[in-house]
Amino acid sequence: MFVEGQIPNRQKDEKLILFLRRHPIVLIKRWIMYLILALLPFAIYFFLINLQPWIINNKLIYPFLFLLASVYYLYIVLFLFSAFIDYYLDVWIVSDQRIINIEQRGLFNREVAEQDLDRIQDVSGIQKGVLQTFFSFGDVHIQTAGEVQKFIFRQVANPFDVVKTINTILDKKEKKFEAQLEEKIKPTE
Amino acid sequence: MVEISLYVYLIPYGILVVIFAIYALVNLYHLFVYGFLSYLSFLMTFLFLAGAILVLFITYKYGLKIDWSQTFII
Repeated sequence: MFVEGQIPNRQKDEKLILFLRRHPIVLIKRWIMYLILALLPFAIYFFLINLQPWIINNKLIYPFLFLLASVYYLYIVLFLFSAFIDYYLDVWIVSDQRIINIEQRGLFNREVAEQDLDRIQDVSGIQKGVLQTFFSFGDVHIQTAGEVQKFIFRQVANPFDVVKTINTILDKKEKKFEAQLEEKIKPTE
Repeated sequence: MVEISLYVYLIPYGILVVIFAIYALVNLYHLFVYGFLSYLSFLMTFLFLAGAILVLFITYKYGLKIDWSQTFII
């Protein structure tokens, strides 16, 4: 288990800059859907009790519906938890040395990729749709020269701020590199 | 004609509960192995377990009122 807000397999002198997850609204949207589904048995119950009460009073059908409702709610609880796990295990980390992409796809697929900041070629942010504009979240696309050519930070909050932060780090690194280069090239007196 | 008791309903129910338990354990395994240690993960695990126990407890409580030994003929 990793510690929240810390870099997994931290390298020497590595500093955490961004620790990102999807915007919470993405999780809340899924939860609302499941909670609406949780109301369905109540609606069916009131429909039956008012229009077809014999079904509820039937000694054969009632136990069946009772167990069905029980299983239904067990799985609603499970899907609510699964939605959280899906949200919680997708993490994108930006440090002063590298970017790390950790994504859980379904129950048995897990993807971990990392890339040095030096290999980043292009960073762009995309915000599309009413919900993303209203709640200010979207994707950050990072083009790299590595094996994994494109990193996508999905549905993260304030994507343009993330792009700005990454570009600032890259600028700083570039300036530092140029300064070091000048130092080396400088003729010795 | 075959006489069957209501207990047969409990067989598919039991199977579905076992599948639920396996799925839940896999989820918990993922959270503990790959997750990040935080109050949020503890809180959500607690809420999940509390919710599942509550549903099972209510099922047990109201299930006791049903006479599962009743039979029906097919």
